[in-house]
Amino acid sequence: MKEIFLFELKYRLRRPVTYIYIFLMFIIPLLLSVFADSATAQYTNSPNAIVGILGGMSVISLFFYAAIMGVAVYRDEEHKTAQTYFTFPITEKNYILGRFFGSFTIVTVMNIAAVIGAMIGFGIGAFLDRPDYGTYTSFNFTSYALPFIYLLTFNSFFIGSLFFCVMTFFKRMSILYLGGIVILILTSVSGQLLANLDTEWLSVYVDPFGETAHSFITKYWTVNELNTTQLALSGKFALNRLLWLGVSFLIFFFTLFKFSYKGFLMSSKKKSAKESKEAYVPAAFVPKVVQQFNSKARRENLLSLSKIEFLSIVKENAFAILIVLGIMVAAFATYQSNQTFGTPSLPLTRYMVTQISGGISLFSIIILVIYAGEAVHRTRQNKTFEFYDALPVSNSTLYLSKIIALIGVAVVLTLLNVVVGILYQTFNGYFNYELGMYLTYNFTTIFPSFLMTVLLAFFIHVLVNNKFLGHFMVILLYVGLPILSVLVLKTSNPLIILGGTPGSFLSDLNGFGHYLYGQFWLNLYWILLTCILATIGIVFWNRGFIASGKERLTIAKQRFSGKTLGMMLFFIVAFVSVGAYSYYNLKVLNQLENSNYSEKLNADAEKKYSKYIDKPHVQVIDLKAFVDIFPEDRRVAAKGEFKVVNNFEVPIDTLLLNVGFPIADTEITKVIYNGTELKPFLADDAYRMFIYQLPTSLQPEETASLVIETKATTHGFSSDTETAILTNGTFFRDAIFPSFHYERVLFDNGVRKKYGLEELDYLFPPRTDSTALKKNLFNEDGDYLHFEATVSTSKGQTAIAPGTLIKKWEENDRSYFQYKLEEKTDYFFSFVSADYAIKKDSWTAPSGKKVAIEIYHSPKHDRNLDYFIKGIKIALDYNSKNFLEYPHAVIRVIEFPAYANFAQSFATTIPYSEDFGFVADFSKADSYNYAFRITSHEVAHQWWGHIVTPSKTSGANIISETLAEYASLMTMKQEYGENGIKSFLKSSLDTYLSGRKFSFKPERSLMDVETGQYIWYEKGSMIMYDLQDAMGEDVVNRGLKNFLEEFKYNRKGFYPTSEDLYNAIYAVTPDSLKYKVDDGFKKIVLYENRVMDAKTKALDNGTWETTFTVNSKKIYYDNKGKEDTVDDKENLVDVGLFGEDVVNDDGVTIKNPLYFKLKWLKSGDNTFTIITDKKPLKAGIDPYNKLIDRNSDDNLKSVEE
Amino acid sequence: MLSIQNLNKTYPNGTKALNNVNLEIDKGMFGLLGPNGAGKSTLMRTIATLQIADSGTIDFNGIDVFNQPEELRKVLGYLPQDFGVYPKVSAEMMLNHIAKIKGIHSVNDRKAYVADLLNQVNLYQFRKRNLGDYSGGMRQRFGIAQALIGNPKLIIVDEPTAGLDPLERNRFHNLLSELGEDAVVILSTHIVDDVVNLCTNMAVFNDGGVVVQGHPQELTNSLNNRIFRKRIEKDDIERYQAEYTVLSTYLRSGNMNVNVFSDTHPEEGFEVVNNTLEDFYFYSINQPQTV
Repeated sequence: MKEIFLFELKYRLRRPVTYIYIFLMFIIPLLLSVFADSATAQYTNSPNAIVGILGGMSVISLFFYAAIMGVAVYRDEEHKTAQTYFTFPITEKNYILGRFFGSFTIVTVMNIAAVIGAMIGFGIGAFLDRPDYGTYTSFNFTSYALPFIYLLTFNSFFIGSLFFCVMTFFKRMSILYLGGIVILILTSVSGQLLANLDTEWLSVYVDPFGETAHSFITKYWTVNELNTTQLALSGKFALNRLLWLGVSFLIFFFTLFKFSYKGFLMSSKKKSAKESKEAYVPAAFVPKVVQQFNSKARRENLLSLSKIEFLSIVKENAFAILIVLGIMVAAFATYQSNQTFGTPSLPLTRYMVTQISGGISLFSIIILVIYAGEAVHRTRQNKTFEFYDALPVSNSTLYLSKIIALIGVAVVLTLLNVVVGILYQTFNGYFNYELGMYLTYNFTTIFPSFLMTVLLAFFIHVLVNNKFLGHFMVILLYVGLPILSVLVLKTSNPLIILGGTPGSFLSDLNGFGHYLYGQFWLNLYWILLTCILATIGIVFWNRGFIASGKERLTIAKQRFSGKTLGMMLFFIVAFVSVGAYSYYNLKVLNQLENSNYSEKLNADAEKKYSKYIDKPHVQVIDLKAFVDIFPEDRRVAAKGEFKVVNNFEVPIDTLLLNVGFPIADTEITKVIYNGTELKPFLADDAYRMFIYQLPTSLQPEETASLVIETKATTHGFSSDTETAILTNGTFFRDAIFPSFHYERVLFDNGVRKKYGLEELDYLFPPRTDSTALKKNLFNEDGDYLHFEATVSTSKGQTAIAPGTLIKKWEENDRSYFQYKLEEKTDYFFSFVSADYAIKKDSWTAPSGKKVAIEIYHSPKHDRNLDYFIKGIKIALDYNSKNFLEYPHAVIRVIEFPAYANFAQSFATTIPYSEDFGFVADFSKADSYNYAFRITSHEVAHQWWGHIVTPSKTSGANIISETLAEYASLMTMKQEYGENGIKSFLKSSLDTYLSGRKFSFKPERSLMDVETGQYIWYEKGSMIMYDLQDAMGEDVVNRGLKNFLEEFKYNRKGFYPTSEDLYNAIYAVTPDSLKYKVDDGFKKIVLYENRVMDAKTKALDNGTWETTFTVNSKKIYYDNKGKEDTVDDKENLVDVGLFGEDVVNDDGVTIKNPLYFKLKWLKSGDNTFTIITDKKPLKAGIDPYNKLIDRNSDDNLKSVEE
Repeated sequence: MLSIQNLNKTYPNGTKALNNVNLEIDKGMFGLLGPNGAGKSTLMRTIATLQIADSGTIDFNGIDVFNQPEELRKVLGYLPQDFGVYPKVSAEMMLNHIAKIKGIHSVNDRKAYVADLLNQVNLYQFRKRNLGDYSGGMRQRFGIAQALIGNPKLIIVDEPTAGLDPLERNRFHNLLSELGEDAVVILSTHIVDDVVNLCTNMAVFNDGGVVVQGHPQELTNSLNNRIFRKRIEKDDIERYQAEYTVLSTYLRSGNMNVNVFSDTHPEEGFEVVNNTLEDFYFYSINQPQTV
């Protein structure tokens, strides 16, 4: 065995490719870790980050492991050495052990190389002075050693024994590919399972590499835990590792004991044995041979060669298997991803084309790369080339036929997308197939990328002339180049990113939009580039025997002439022309800069303009906006007639205008101040900052008229999606007018440090800052103002701005709409235009006022409109009754195209993404109705945000978001009952807990939150729910009503802070519960509640006496996620006993409490003895998970008898 | 017809496979005889357009092989020494495909032609069987068939009879000699009998170069009366090798024999033998410098 082992080792060490593998295993993690950055408070080289890099290597190195371990025994088959080898006096076990451990030693060397690579990489990273890459912790050997053992070594053992086994028994290379692909599928499936709350438990078992299991256990970790906790073989991670280690050992021992020389030598082939008994009947005459080599014959040859090549690919079993796998993965991925908030969306064609292709494309690219390699190497591998290459067929015919065949395969794979999409729709009972969209999408987006893959992979395989290495080079290009361009070049330039095209999205409103044009040119650009490569490939095409690289060059030179040269020149000229045209569009007509550019621009701007922060500036008290939208030309012209005031105590003599509109070419065309046209004395076109001298200073409290005209124009095609102005579905905000003040935009302290800017602990001023209290959070350019807008658009489209529609007319083939808001608004409004159908309804306020409800929607989306209307009505009702009557006469929900998933509330007007409920299939929902919920949240903003606007201070945003969330929760409770919001609370808890580790600042309490959405939405809703649950909804609402009355419409001259909100609630809270308000608003509190044990016994009178012990622990955490103190006081927590779950009238499974009470629990064990009528099955503490608790699974426990 | 001039080829590892090869070959069967590793296959491949030389030219009927490989391939039939097949394709299908590539475009003609060819190599019965399931001999016959497609003007066969049983070998010899009537046929082999039976001209090839070229019988005759044989004891081999130009030692009926070359009658016990081409072959590869 030792001899076999040493031979294997020596064999490997003599092969140059071994060193290539080792080098790659070293350099890849090195580069990844050099360029790894941390945008959060996690150290760049935290134990968790190291696990990420090294764990990720398992997936990449699958390929190397396979190459080393898979062929150890197969080699004896391939080189036909088995026959002799097996006659030597070695036992079968020793042979296997020697081969296995010889290879495994090499694999382990590769793993060590990876570890050293990561060590050096992070070392270099820490050494370089790059504050924007995050902070580094000191080197810790353990952080590398543990993932080396638990991930790399375990995984290489698994992959190794698996491939060793399949190759020993099947002796087929295709099995190797399949095995690798199945493992990749398991990895991606486990990732998908993890993404869903209901299936995440399963991911731990499915994941062969342990990475998903690691993500699973670290899901609720804090930054501190990520930074300090070493990978440990415990919990679910241990389960995963030991499970797969067990599987590996099973496979290993199976191989060891099952392997026999005889079995190995036995050929599994069956004879095709189609012997025809018929004797040869000579033809009447054997025709005289006529050889034709004219161009027609050449064409026919090309055709028939292509056909043979094509058939030899598609007829292969592996091809069919890959396709079936691809379809399964695509269907699974589509099923998993085609949902929002746990509710499936309709299988619209625009979802199908992107989601199905997302699943199939990977497989298609694998197929194309593998078969490009096969096409290049087939005749060499089976040695047919020894006579085949001497046949009278030209190099270009041979070469072209293979490419044509592969393109044929690409067409088949493209059409497969269409077929699978249609089948998926059919199986889901959806029959509105949009065949045009299917074909357009797949042949403008998917097919070009396949074509590129074919040409590129073919070229690389020709050039590299080694199948494994060729595959690897292709993978390296596909994976490496995007990483390179993102991490190192920090660019989004589609001319540089391999296969890059300008961004785009599909929409029911906007269709393919204006994006096909730019995509066409960029696709052409990349295809031409790969055509050049493919032409180069011809001259390097390996025909016959080529002894050396030098000889190859000689042949290449010889071939590089005539047609090939002409073709190459043609492609080069075409490529350069298309490239130049694209460059002109992307870079000359439009802006195309890397992220460093914008960072620097913003840093420079801050250095230049930060002196204007907090300086007095004009504020708007009245605005008449005239906005002309030209959807077909995608341009906008706007005029604002402002009435401005000086609200400060000193005169204002400058006017600062900062353009913030998302279209790059946005100009201020005219500024007229009190009748005088102004010209800027400072014009910063890069940052779009313009500063004007006022002809006369504006005195405190003095007003002036200001007219600003702007226009925004789009040119050619841009790398930016330019979603603000679309052909059908324009939606932009007040930024069409410049702002009157400068605002900081860089918040990442690393980036700030890099540019020498002062580091910021908090982004907003403290609550004690009296200047900041006078500013509202949304826009400090105006307090409450009068708003009127006249919006025009193309005929056929409806344009909408906040306010009541007071006039509508047509002029010059355009439609005009005039709106006016009855009540003042903050400086925060939107303009929308598209071809809409309108659904109308109305709601009557308690006072009898009628409010018109309007849903502007795509004519294709009339399915879920009632949920939106219900959401609006119930929210209007709830907020009007509890806080203040809705001040306007209209409220609208307006659909905008699916480039983003959000809804936003402006006064009277709620633009709403078409993906956010309009196309959901609520009949299949097993979760809350999110169309209803989001609508009621947005409507609640009419109060929480628009009637009471938060100040521009730390934490104030909870006044807007947490309260809107609370109001929405209460409307849900009213509509669906307590049980109906269980799934909502569960996902809130999950989102909050898993969001904590991404905090890029220390974790803030609710009262201090500035950036964490998971705090102001999810934690906020948990806290508010618990408060109203403990003290009563009425009490909370009384506090909120007081708060609203005190601060509505900026009546105090300053805006409220989070502390004002806290005080308002604290004031109405009974003393015994005040601790909950403190915990919720000011602290970071996590409970660790669980049931220790529970026993029940039947009493003589037929009742049941249950004794159960619950353990309660309330822990305060500091802002780094470190445990601070454990509370020693008593806390109010639900405890209960439950019978069998019951199904309620709505078909929802709910708990069946036999006993349920809020109890004061001391820290530690609390024992209760309760008598119930029926036999309890489960005992629980906080069974509905109202409190924040990282392990909510142990809150219920079965009762023993 | 085929003119090879000053052909040189050195492999990157330093092996000089072709050392200034000059050959003129006319219509008819030409035998290229040489030991393993002499560079025969390199020469064959080079003529068959599969490999380029470092220097030198090959001309066939006005076709410059290095600059017009396409043209040569149209008139070439090549059977390599070691070749593979598509395992999942039947012989009939493959031959049809090759026939098409070789310019036979009429479907009916091709069909009849391929059937005839299959019959000639005695594979007609197995024409539908996948090539992967062919035995070594059958595969070799398939190789022969593909080389004959299209009535080539230059036929190169490299060790063609390896793996053929005597019956098939004869069959093949007949086929080849028929073709040799109006084509150049180069038969590369280390089996002397093949050359004796078939070839009108031949060359002995060793160490990358042509040792001698001529008519087999004439070459054989050049050594008449100078080859002697003796039955010897096994232990004496070394002594004879030291004293004589030993061409071959071989067993005959269990006894050791030695053939030596000598201008005069050697010691007692040697007798003049009826010398063959084999003796000449051994003679020429032993003393490349003398001829």
